[in-house]
Amino acid sequence: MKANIANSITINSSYAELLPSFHDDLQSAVDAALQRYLIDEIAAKIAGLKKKEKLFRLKYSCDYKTFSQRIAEDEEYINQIESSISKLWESDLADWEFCEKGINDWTKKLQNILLLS
Amino acid sequence: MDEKVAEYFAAVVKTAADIFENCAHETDFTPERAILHLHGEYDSCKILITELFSDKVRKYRYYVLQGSRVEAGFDNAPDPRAIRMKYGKIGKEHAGENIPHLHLDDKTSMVLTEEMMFSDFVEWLRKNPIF
Repeated sequence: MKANIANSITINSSYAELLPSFHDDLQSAVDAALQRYLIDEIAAKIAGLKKKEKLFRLKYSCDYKTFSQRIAEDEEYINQIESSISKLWESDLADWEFCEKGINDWTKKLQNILLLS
Repeated sequence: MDEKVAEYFAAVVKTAADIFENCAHETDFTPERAILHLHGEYDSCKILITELFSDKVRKYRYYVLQGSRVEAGFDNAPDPRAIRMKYGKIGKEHAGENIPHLHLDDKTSMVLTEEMMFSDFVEWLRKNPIF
């Protein structure tokens, strides 16, 4: 599927004049370059979120699913967390959700882009 | 991510920069989610803000800290203590439900609140110059 973007993009003429040497048209070269760029950017996003997510797992000694379930049901667990780990666990819960679900969001996008190749 | 969320974050950052000292923030986005972290100083207190839009639900945390002491903390986390306060018991039927509430006195007391926006929090700070 193609999308027309209103903004135009300027291509360095010294790059454009080389493309015929590789039997590539400009459109397919730009598509391939954008695909590589997005794959790199999304991979970096996923790596960053995984790194942060791991810090939460270490801090609370459990995974996101366990933490979010216990925190929603177990008052004693919250008291324990607030006295020994963090009084600001609500903020961590939000941040952790962003990491956990964000990894899935970006992984799906990455899979879609890879399927285009 | 929804353009309105980016606009909301921009408005929060602008307001915060006007009223907090040493204000700094960072945002991150996925195709489905957006998060804002912001911190600053208000009088002698440290302010910590987190706003998350996830699965079309807004989750907020607004803390007023004196050192490590939580003077006030507005949030809508699914805290079972807030669930008990609202429904009289903690049960499976309300587990995970986001309940707007306010922590006071280093989280030793809690009251239920209406859903808060950042502008409500700023208004509350202005009306409660107790710190």
